[in-house]
Amino acid sequence: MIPAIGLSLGIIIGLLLQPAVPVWLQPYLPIAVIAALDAVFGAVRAILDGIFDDKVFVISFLSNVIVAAFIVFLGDKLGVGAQLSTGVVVVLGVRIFSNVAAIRRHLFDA
Amino acid sequence: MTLLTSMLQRPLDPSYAAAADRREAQGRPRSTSLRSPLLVIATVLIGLLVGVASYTLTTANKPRSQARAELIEQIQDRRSQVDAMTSQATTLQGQLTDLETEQLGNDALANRTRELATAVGAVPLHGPGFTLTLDDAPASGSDDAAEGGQADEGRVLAKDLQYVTNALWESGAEAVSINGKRLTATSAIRFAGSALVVDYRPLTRPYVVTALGDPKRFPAAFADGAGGTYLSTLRSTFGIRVDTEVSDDLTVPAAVGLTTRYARSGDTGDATPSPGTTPSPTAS
Repeated sequence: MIPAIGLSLGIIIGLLLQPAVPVWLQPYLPIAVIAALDAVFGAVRAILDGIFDDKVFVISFLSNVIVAAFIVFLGDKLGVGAQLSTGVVVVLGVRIFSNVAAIRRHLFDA
Repeated sequence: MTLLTSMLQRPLDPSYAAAADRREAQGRPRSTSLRSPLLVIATVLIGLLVGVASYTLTTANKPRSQARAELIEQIQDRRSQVDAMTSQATTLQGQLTDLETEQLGNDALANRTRELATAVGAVPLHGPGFTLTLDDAPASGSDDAAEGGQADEGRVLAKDLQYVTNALWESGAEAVSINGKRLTATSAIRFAGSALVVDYRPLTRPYVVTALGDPKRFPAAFADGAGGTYLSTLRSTFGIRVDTEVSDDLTVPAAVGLTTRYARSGDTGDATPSPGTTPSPTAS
């Protein structure tokens, strides 16, 4: 419950304050969001599995975002930014889907 | 396949399980509480990220789409202005013609004026003739094709209309209009971007060319001449749709904007040709 409240609080603060994101940071936003989603779904699955750990969650979130951003940055420098972004999205997307499948098994036994 | 298998079968970070095992070994519960401040901070951060991203990414396109909408609005405004002014000009021209006929008591002069007006396109005309309807090939005409460049072959070009109109004049047309725009001696058929423009007014598909002429001779002359050949080539090679319809009574509107701004007739005084000598075309 508390994590959900924190999440919505963050979204509301972000939408209300509307901080200006520097232009150089904007290409990393979509990737960062997907990395964060992956961490969140992983955490939900861990909660349902009964093995949740807040430190692991924070570390996985931070490392996800940083590694994803770094890969995109590297790709931009190498001239294959779009392809590497696609790769990151595919990998994280597969993880999100299988996590959601596990969550579904927990919640609905289906 | 190892990569795919491990990705699909074990998507959860193994560190969760490792941490749980460690805690169990230390005699604590396998799962930590959801109330830890670290977790709250992290969730607020994630929410912030999502909120900022959604705001930033949705507004990134806003100025462009706004400018686009404004431009479209301007175009529509101006277009309706032009339409209004065109109809006004047509009305005024009709009044002018009426007044002229009224004032010119001399029958010879009035007849001369009428003849000239008919020839230059100052009055609407009707009579026998035919309409040519040209349209882009069925596959083309979409925006993708327009941007692809290579798939542009099926579109009607300014060149096609120019050729067809010239062939119409050549085979005896007495008055020609395209999409309700009368062609005169100063008319221009051009390309502006990907739009066809006649007298600076863009046309929309399909392009309807109305031509008046001798019902016995004119349609046959056109069909047998260069124009007919050109159209059948367009049809067979590029798939451009061409429809011809002969009719007994067609109407061609009066031309709008028949005035000249800089060129003057010789009677005003300071023009070079002296009265009596007929001005001869110097360069043609």
